[in-house]
Amino acid sequence: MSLSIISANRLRDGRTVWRTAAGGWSEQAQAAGPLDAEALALGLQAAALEPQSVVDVHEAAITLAPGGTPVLTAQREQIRATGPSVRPDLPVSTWGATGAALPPLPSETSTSPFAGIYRYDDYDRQFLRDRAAQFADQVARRLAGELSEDEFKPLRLMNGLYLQLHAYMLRVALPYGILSAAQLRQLAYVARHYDRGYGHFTTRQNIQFNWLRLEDAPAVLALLAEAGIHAIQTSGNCVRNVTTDEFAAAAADEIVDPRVYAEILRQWSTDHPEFTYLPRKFKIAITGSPQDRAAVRVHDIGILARRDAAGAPVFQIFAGGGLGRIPVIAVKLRDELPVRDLLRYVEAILRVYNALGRRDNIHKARIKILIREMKPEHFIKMVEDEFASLPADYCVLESDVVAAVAARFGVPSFETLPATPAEFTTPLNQDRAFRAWVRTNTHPHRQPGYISAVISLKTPGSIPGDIKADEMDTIASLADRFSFGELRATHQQNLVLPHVRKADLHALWSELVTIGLAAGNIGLVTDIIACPGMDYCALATARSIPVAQRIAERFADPQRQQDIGPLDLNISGCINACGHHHVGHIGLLGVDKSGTEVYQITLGGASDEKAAIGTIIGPAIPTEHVPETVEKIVNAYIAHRDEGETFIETYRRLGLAPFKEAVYGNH
Amino acid sequence: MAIINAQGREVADSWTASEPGAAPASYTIIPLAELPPAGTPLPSPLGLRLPPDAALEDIAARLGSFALIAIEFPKFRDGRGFTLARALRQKYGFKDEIRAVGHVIPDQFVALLRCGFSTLSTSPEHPAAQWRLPAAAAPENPAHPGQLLHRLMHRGLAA
Repeated sequence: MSLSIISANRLRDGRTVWRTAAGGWSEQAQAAGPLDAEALALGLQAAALEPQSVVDVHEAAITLAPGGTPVLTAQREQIRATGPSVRPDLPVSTWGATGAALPPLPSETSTSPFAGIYRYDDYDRQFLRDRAAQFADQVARRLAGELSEDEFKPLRLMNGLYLQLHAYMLRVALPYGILSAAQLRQLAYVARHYDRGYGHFTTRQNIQFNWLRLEDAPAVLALLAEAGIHAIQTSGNCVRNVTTDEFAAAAADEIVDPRVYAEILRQWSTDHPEFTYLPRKFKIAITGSPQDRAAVRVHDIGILARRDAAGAPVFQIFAGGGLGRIPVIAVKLRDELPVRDLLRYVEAILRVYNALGRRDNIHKARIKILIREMKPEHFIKMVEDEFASLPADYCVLESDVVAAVAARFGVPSFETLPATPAEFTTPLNQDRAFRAWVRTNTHPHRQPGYISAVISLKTPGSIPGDIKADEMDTIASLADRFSFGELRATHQQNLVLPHVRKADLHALWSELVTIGLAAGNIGLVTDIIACPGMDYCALATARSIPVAQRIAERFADPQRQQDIGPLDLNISGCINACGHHHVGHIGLLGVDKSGTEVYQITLGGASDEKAAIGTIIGPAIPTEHVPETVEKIVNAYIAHRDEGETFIETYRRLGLAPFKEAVYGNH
Repeated sequence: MAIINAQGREVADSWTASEPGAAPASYTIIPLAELPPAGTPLPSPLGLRLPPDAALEDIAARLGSFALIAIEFPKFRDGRGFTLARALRQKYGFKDEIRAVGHVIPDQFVALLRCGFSTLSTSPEHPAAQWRLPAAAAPENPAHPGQLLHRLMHRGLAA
């Protein structure tokens, strides 16, 4: 006889609970009453009548241990009952509100006046406060039963609040990845006082908190508003946080400042009356340089700046790219869209999508499916017709509008400095470890004497993208000291100090060494992109973090990583592809095969100008063999590479065969 | 079922749904599927009810025959109705009443108005009392000019 127990998450805080024999809800899975099929049906019926107390009511299969204790069968349910397997220090059992008095907000004393964030005026600040108050009202109406869960869910998602395995998760927007030291301190405050002491940087330049209580969420949004941060449209079927190049307004090769256009798109899309209930989520990326550092070809709309024949900035427009179940490289709609038409054109694309995108099947609702089903040429014609029919003066981005938005960004007061000061070249020549870090973790700056520095959140063995509250505060201080109080979050889940004086770089690096954040692995095999996976995520089918940790540990030797050279390794814990596995040079996709985690391996993916979807190399590999399999692939590359050839170049030259042989051949 | 106007107040309704199969009568709202062929004389005033997938270009020339256009929302998450209303106002210059019918929720009130809806029909789940227009969000409220981009572009973005 198969036995089950009933589990759910408590509405008001999201905590995992189990239904007892007496019909109550317990925080302990062991307290649940084992149910046969008949009792299960009755129990589920009864639980369905309590929408004001629990959500996501579901059955969980069990067996009985000697003594009659229920033992959960599925790994996902075990993780729900105990906590993330990668954080044994944080069991669910010790999670709860402390009720302790809170210290003053960092925003009362910390302002970062020189950071290049978009400066809010009184209207903007009030807008965020109003928005937090509006969400407080929505939460109250949900708790009172005035809004059903079905109606409330899109509203909480549009405020960044998901229900995950252990609790609610809040995804906070870092618009186009830029934040100030003061804002990072406010985020540290949230991590420390409303979460469990840490946050997680995502592949969309956002930060997530994993342990939020629904009843605290309005207060968190209100305090974030005081630092000019919000969670608006970080989820839901609307236009999401516009992402861009992490070296925006610092890179030497830039044609336009993508922050300005990303901010224009943000204001245009925030609370857009027409495009807030789209068929599915909608992601826009923009890159200000012809070298694509924002993966624009795998976005719903991708925008790439270039120059026309006369040297004026124009935009190349792509649409219909995306990863997920059906990975697609975008089609090009326009080669040279005038800047003034940017919003008009984006609006035309969204109008066609909103009217015609599929709403009958969530897995076929993205714009990439619409374009494929309509055929690209027909889709482009409809967009062009819609664009042509817009009133001539509608939504035109005149240069004075662009200039006014641009003026809201702080301009760092750069000094006139020597291009290569001795304070930089001397340690560069003398200190091998520093030299190695500079080679991988810096990027050329447009201003002589300055450089952009990347702080790796991928120290081998750590959880990719995770950052402790104390580390946030420390990095905020480093940003204040070395980079005008400005930081960037990258889509590879690292942080950037964009404007560091070269003469200060060795001092910065030394500080990073002291706090254990000086991993010199940017762009190397251990700079792994990984989604949170089944340790946190309600959608995941596999645990991606432990796989990332084991691979990083295997390749931890800095010399070996340097020798292997540039290699993007991306891991997703399910088909939704938050870990961008399709565009990793090596991509790993975790799937559940009859209750066992296995990993499917793809090779040859890329998200740059040569964007490509990786090809599956062969049958999936058991999780425990993934690190050695990756090693075999890397070794095959080393054996076959020509002088100076990177992994992806070797793959493009030779194709799958040598790698397949290395993984599956008889050795 | 009550009718709510753009100020969030309940108003009297002079319209009824047409009888299935009956000839169009004045002050009735006929479904698009029952629209008589072009050239058929129509009573006045007449209302038209559009499903969310209605192709406006097919009936563009006839929109002037209607004093009210109702747009169906099968589910509040189905946002096609917003684009239909926007197109009716912006592309086809429709000036009369546009009414949201079906499943809409009070949290969508401002978006409905900004897309050009003039009225909505309430559902049992969200009676008239729930439709309060946030004072700060009223369109064309000078105290609520919008973020910088909206202020700079005047009519460019949603009203």
